[in-house]
Amino acid sequence: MIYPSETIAFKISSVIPILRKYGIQLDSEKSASTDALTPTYAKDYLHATYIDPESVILLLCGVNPSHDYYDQDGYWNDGSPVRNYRKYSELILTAIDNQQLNTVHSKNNKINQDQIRSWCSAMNIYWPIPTNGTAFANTPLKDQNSEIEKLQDQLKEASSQLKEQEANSKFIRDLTLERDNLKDENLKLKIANFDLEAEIDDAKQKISALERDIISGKSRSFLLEILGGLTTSLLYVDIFKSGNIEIGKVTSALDSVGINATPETVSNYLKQAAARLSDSGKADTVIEYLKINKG
Amino acid sequence: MNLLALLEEEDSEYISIDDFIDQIHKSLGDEVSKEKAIEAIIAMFRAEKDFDLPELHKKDPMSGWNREPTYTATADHLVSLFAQKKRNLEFDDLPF
Repeated sequence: MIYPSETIAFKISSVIPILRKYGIQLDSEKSASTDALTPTYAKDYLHATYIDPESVILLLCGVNPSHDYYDQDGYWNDGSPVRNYRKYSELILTAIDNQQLNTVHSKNNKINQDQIRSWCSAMNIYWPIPTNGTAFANTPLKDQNSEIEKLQDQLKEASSQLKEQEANSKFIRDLTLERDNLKDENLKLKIANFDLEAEIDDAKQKISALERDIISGKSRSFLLEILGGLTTSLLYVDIFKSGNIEIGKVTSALDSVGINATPETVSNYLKQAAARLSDSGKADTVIEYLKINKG
Repeated sequence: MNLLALLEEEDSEYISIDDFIDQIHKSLGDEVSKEKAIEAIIAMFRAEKDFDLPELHKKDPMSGWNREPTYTATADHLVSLFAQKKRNLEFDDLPF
């Protein structure tokens, strides 16, 4: 941001150490360079790969190790103690003893700055020199833990939702499979229905054909009377005679006009004709006619 | 580097008091009022024992950023400055 004249401001690097205690990062830090984010007292060490333990302690105290007013062993040259020197001295020397921090012999027993930065982050201590993109790495540990817990909760919830979605997905897959099976079944039933309809049509046609051949009711009765009448009046065959009637005369007569009928069929119809004439009360007339005319 | 970038670089190390309040307010969340955010800043500076409190700088049209000589980096001065900001805020909220 470009500020107008007369603007009153803080140096960002001077408020960062205090803000870090509360886990606060300023938006302005995102656009600021590593140099701008490094407090004045630490700028000499911005590009240092290795730093001696005494300087590390002073930097943690917020003091420039090459400060003119610094005497030695944690005292200013007026004899007053450097704030927090004892605390950080104890921490650093213990970390070296425990090999949490390693002094490198070939580098005059200095400590690698990346290792210091990592150690500070783990110990929830503010290290004044950020690296590019890691300026927010000094967030208090409890905030990081809180963030991790939040993420774990979110992960659990996401996992639970995933399981639910998987169950729903399985239900939908099963339902789809069942629907496809029903579709197949329905298709088979439709085909079977077509076959049945075709069979019904065929049967209807056959019934219709049969119905055309069947003579029933009054027509049948009248035809039987005609059959009986003609057989007796023209061929002089006594159809009322029980036993061996003259079927041969009838079949011969039919043969002569090209109608082939078995004696059994002819006998059957003649018996029906005799029965019909008897039922209708015409039998006596027919028998009388035969007596008179059949030689 | 263009001229505007030069100006931006000069300003990138600093944050105005108003921006500082706004950014702290933002980090505390919308449910916290701006007045409450200023009270939190005052409490933070009052409680600070480990690090030097920040000095105030002023941008001069002639010489650029300079330490503000009328302020010393003490809790009292900072508290006074932010208390004044809070009063101005409350005054702006009055309906007349």
